[in-house]
This record gives sequence, C-alpha cells and structure tokens, in this order.
Amino acid sequence: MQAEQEIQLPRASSMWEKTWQWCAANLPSFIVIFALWEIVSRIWGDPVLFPTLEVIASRGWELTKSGILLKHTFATAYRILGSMVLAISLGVLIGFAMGRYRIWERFWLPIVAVLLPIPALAWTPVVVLWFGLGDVTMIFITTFGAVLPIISNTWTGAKSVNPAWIRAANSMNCGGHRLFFRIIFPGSLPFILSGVRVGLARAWRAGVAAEMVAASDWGLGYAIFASREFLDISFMLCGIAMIGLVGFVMEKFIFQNIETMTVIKWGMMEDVQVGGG
Amino acid sequence: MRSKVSIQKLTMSYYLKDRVVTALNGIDLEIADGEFLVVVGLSGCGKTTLLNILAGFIKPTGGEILLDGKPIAQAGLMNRGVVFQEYALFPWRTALQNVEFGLEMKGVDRKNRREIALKYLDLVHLTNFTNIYPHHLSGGMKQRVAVARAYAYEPEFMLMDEPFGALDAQTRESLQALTVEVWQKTRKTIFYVTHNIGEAVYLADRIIVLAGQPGRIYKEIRVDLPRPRDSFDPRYVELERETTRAVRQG
Ligand SMILES: Nc1ncnc2c1ncn2[C@@H]1O[C@H](COP(=O)(O)OP(=O)(O)O)[C@@H](O)[C@H]1O
Ligand SMILES: [Mg+2]
Repeated sequence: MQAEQEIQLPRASSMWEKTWQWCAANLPSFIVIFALWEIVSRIWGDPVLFPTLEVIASRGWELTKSGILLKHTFATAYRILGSMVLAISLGVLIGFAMGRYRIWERFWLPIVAVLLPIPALAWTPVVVLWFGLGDVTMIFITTFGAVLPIISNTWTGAKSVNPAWIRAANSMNCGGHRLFFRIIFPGSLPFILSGVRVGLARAWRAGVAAEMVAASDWGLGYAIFASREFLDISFMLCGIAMIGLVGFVMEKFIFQNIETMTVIKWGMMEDVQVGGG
Repeated sequence: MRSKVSIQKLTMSYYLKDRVVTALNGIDLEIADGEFLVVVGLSGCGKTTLLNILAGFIKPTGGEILLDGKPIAQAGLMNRGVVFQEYALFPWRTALQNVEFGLEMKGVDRKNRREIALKYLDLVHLTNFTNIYPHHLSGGMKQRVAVARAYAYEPEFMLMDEPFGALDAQTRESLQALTVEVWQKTRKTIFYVTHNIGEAVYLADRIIVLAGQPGRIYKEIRVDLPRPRDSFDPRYVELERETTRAVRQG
C-alpha cells in the first residue's frame, strides 16, 4: 500500500477511486484504535464508565434517530457560521486597511499583536457577565477567536501583492476601487483563505468549549457537558465524534474545494506561508 | 517626423535615509512618432528609472517631459502600454482575460473586447492557449501574453523593460522577430530597454547608449539597416562593435 501511494499517477482519478484510496489509506488506523477501545472496555468491565463499541453505537443511533444529536450540531454550526460571517467581514476590512494605509497599520498592529496569543475562551467569564448565557456571548467569543488570524493574514496578503501587478494595472488606467477589487483582493486571496481557515478552526474549537460554560440549552459543547449529570458517557463520546466529523467536513469538503477552485487553480499557493495559530 | 516624446533636462534622484542617489542627470531626448528607440547601458545606469518616469510610475525630480506636446503628468495613463521584465500577468486571469484587462478598463463591451483580444493573441501566435492560466504557460508564452496585453490596450506609446531578458536565447530571438513584426503592423512608438547589444542592433531605429552613475546619454547610434535584419551583415556586425565600445567606455 505504501509503495502504491508513492507512485503518483499523472491521470486524474474518479471520485470513487479517490474515496476508495482515502479509505484504504486511513481505515487501518481507525480499526486499530477501535479494537484497542473494545479490548480495554471488556477488561475494565464497567458499561457506564467505559462502554463497549456496541453500547456507544446503539446510543449514537438512538440519538441520531431522535434528532437530538443533529439539533445540537446545528445549534453549534449556526453560531459558528454567524460568527464566521462577522469575522470575515471585519477581519478582511481591518486587514486591508492595515495593509494599504500606514495610519491604520500603526493603530491596529499593537492591538492585534497583544490579542492574538490570548485564547478566545479566556474571555468567556467576562463576556458572560456582559451578555449572560446564550447566543450573543457565544458569537462574541467565536468571532473573537476567528477574527485575529483573518486580520493578520489579510494584512500580510495586502502587503505582499506583487507590485508589478499594481503597476501593470495602473498602466492600463486601473486605480482606486477598481484596483482594489480586480488586483489587490484576488492578489491577496491565498493569504485571506489561509487566515479564514485558521480562523474557522479556532472558532470551532473555542465555540464548542465555550458552549460548555456559556450556552443556555443547545449546542454540542453544552450537550456533552450537561450529560455528565446523567453519567451518559456514550452521549459524550457521540458528541465528541460529531465535533470531529463536522470540523473534518468543513476543512476537507468546503475549504479544500474553495482553494482548489481558486488559488490552487491559479497556481498561487506556492509561496504562501500560513500565519496565526 | 514630429516628436512623440520630448524629454528636456530630466534629472532623477532617489533620496535615501543616509544619502542621495542621482540615477539620471540632464537627459535630453526626442523620440519620433513611430520610432523604435532602444536604450542600452550597463546594469544600474538608470534605464529602468527612465522607463518608470516615462510610464508615469515615478515622478522626476527635475526637467520636463512632453508627450504629444503636453506635459506627461497631464497626459494621464491612458496612452501608454508597459511590458515588464518580470512576469506581470495576473495569475487569476486566463491568457485571454489578461489580454482583455486593458479593454475592460477602457469600457469596451464584452463582444468587442473578446474580438480585439483574440486578434492580438493571434498576433503573438497564442490562439490555442486562450483559456490557460499563466502558471501553466512557459516563460516565453507568458511574455507573449504580456506583449499582447500591452498591445491590445492600443497605446500610442509602448514601453518595454528588458521584456525577454529572462528567456533562453532561442525563445528570445523568436520574440524579438515577433516584436518587430507587431511593431511594423501597428507602427506605435516603442521605448525599449535592454542590456543586450545584439538585441539593440536587431530591433532599433536608433540606439541610445546610457552611461552610468549618474545616468546620462553617452552616445546615439542610428541603425540604418533594412528589416528583417541579418546578423551576419558586415554593417550589422560593425554596429554591434560600435555599440559595445560605447557601452564599455560610458
Ligand atoms: N527605488 C530606488 N531607490 C533607490 N535607488 C534606486 C531605486 N531604483 C533605482 N535606484 C538606483 O538608481 C540607479 C539606477 O537604477 P536602475 O534605473 O534600476 O538601473 P538599470 O535599470 O539600468 O539597471 C542604481 O544605482 C540604483 O541603485
Ligand atoms: Mg533595469
């Protein structure tokens, strides 16, 4: 299998082939982990604290069928989506202002530098006191988590737009807002997308964690945390699996596709360094 | 023939933190309408600076430039086309869309835009690559698209800064021939910068030899050979020798 993977076939493979290759490459890891889990749970012999795969799976099926798990997932996803819209709008705006205008750069740079290393979650108690439990608090925290890497990447992107592109555009009478939309924006898109990707990952993590403390009654983080009252470890594990799954889908299917259709197609990803944690 | 561009007492100094670099000092030059003017000189003698001033990218610190009798600052950017040394194609646009860019800026409608762009892509023999993104094109093809893009804008005055400097000898030669071909068809005034003397003699109506630091005009050499030119012609070889000597002495 290893050898097969290393030989890069030049032809384009179909979607089924790709899926199959992906499964063949990654399934063994999962099988080993599941087997280990099963062995430990049998040895431990406590169906409440360390349930077997069968127990977890049947609880998972139950939760899916009743729609509870999906409802929690949507509650979380909806908050993340809202805060991403906010974070992208704000972050791209501030990042471009910093990249193109000296005065905005001077103003924002120290603020971004100080705030960037702070985990968004650290703000939770403060924000809860301001806005109480619920969506406003959640969106505030996740937006905060996402916006900083977007700002810092957009800023880098705007500064690193090839000056030859700008001159070429200028020489064809393209300036002002036309220059912005036709040259600066696409020219910095690889950096913006990297920033949005990092921002999304941060928002997703901070969001789920913050739900444990700050959400009122819906959301994966909330559900996982609340089920400790009932010692429902299967529920917790299903919730955790869901968090991983949604994060994976967002990354693989949404993000990679956006990149493939834009900056990768244009050959612009060669010299981009991803910034921000 | 009337003057397309008239440069009088042009000076350009770069003010750095600790010193002043005078890149050009007292340049006087007339460029005739439809002329193919080539500027040669050693690296650092101010060729790019002169071109950037003519293109309107930087402002000179002294002197005057008239384009069609009007100060160049008032002429706007509408009538100049530039081909750069480095590849300045927009990676997010296909070859065709790159060529269409200037026409889009001029407000030409979609149908005419496409037609004109295809005409110029045909002129540089790239009709089969219209929908290809620049990163899939070879260096020579990229510069051909860049040439087509500059021409499609239909500028009165074409500026080219070592456009084929990064290419291999064979590609460069074919692009030089192509440049002459396009110039003969369009009869636009060309200001062409190079440090390659063979290229200068092959292309130019007139060669301006710049001497360095600060840059000034050292010599003017008229190339009175018929086109297409034969590099084995004794007169051609002699002009090459004369230019080489001037560049070295300057
Ligand atoms: N932006 C700049 N700032 C400071 N000095 C510059 C700048 N551009 C060019 N120079 C200096 O001006 C001189 C001429 O440069 P340039 O016009 O690029 O020459 P060439 O194109 O003939 O190689 C050089 O000494 C160079 O170092
Ligand atoms: Mg130069």
